[in-house]
Amino acid sequence: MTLKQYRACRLAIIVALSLSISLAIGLENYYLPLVFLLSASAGLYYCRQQLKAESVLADERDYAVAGRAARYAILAYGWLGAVGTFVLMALSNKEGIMYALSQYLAFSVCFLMLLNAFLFRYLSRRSR
Amino acid sequence: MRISRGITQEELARQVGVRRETIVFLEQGKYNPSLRLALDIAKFFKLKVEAIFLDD
Repeated sequence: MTLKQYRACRLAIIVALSLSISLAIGLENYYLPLVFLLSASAGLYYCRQQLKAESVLADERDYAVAGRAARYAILAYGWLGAVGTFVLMALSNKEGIMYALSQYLAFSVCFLMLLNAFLFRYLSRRSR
Repeated sequence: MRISRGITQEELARQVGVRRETIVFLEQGKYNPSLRLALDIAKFFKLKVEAIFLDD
């Protein structure tokens, strides 16, 4: 499979996944999306295996840029999450949807920071 | 150097295992290659790393 064919295959799988998940949610079946997600992942993995060995999907520059993008994304989400949590809490009077959202935001930011710290430590040790 | 030898960016990228865009950024001076990539490029051109990447 050439790079062009792989990209077309990948796009087709993503579009099919989006449509099938939308359909499943419309039918109020929330287990089917999991099945579709696993199937799409398997399909993408299979397509990746069929790709010619010499094709380069991503190189060192892509990884470096992706690393910087991830760092900025974590920074932005951390700030937005922290500020958003307190704003929502201030507006919520400790009940209702806004309070629930503020809790979700707070815990998701904490989880992301912990995960980032753990992965950084792990990868830093591995690269010695 | 690449042009004088009649090599396309695509060909060079394929030979050293990167995408064509990376070669473009290298030639524009917008990207500093890793040591591995610099050595691979030098090996491809059969020149020293300094001859390719250092301005005299």
